[in-house]
Amino acid sequence: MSSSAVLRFEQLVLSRGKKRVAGPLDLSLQAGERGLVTGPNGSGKTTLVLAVAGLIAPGGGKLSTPKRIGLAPQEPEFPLHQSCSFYFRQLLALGSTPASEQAGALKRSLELFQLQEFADRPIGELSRGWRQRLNLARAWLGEPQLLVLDEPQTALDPSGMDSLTNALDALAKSAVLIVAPEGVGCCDLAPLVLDLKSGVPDLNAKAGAQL
Amino acid sequence: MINLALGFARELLGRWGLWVLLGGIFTASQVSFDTTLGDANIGPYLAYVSLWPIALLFRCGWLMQKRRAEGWPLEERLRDPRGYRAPLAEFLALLLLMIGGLLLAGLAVLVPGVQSPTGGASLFPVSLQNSADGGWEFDLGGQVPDGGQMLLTLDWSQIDPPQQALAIRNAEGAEVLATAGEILRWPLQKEEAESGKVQLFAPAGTKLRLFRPLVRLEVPQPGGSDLWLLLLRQTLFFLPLMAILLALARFGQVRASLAAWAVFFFGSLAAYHPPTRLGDAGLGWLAKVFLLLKHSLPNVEGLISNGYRFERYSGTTSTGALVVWLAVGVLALLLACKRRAAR
Repeated sequence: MSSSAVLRFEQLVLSRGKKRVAGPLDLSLQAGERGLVTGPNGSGKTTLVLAVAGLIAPGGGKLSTPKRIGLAPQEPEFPLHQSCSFYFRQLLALGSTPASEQAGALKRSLELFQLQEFADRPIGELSRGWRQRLNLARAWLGEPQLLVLDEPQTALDPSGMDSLTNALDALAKSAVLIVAPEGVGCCDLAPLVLDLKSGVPDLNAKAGAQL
Repeated sequence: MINLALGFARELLGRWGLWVLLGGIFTASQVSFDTTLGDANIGPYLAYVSLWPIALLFRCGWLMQKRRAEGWPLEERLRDPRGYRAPLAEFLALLLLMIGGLLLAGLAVLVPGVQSPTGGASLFPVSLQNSADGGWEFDLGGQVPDGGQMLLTLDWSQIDPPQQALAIRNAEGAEVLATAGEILRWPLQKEEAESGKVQLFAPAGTKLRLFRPLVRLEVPQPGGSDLWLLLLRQTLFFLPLMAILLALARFGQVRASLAAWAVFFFGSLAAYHPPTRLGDAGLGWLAKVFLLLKHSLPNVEGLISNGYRFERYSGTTSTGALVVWLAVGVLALLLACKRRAAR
């Protein structure tokens, strides 16, 4: 495993309470690499996301993550009464983006997912699909070192999927971990597949589901 | 940080917060200082003004709860790994709004038509604990603010041979000359004011008697020029409470709206002045627990004293108690900034 890995699992065991959910898992992602984690329902995909985000402690093994992580959860929550731009400015102020770069970072993340025209509208007015774009834009905000996308294709129309593909292609400095159930069309987004059933990354895997 | 604090302050204020504050302060100044509606006293005005930090406390609890449901904890963990920016910004927002509200409250008194109150004095009863020939021991009911003095009416009729003046002294040797036919004003010494206990002695064998029902404690009323100092004291009282709210909700992981009630109860206990002779006898266990809690807190009643006859305890908080109270706030703020490890 490379020492310059942005994200690294070594014999990672995921558990909820006393119940082992998945593992041991091994994976290493460097800057610019993408990994796809698949598995059936209940195989521990969301638990893995929570562990990578630091919300739950791993049940065992080693988990190494960078400081700046962007996460697009499967079921995003937003302050529905706030405008997208006000909310994003708050998030940027919360993070480590210098004040002089915040306006540019806000603009870039909104543009990536064609959200400019919704910038000043309350989030509550956005449809499910546009909220998913906002969810992705939020993960991109502040140029994180690691992006964790939990079922990012959910509710996206073809234009939204194009935006997601383009945004992923534009990333050079960040690693991306995509989590999706088996058979869902995310496989073209990331070549490196970790099946939670086997726990071993398959560098050549490219499962058959289509986008 | 400042942008984060301003954003939180904006959410705290909401759409109507500023108008509610302005309307509340205007009404409070009219009701308190109007000679028809109020009694031109700062005390009731302070009571109305203290509603602002209390409202902020509950609003903050509600907003923290709401932010929890809006996914803020996740974003905080991701974007602020050390976990101090959000709690500090919340505290800064509360501080800004509290100071802003109290500044408006201070300025409202300057509006033409609002009569700036002038200082007077209030009289309070005193209990005579012990009386012996030529000596009296008084209990003033707790610490007395600066400038307090005791008023004693003496019966000179039994003195033989008649005298026009006699020196009254205390145990430390301080003395005041009492004149026949006049009320004796005993200015409280530092120790007497702090302890609320006074022991006075008449010259031995003089048979000077005290009209016991007429013993009074006189405390000067703060005037209009003292309003800023009184508002500053209110700020110092509420700041640690705000920090405790953040610590309970963040480090303690207590539901924030519930934490606001807990802090309100804690603050009420700190502000409460128990009756002087409230001993253990006859009290239920719950009252005993409350009393124990009350006595374990620093005496900060003097910071928040308000309402009618507020001057009795206003400013009685010692520097030591104030330092301890603020230290509790600093400790709470540090706890609020301490992120719990994931489980």
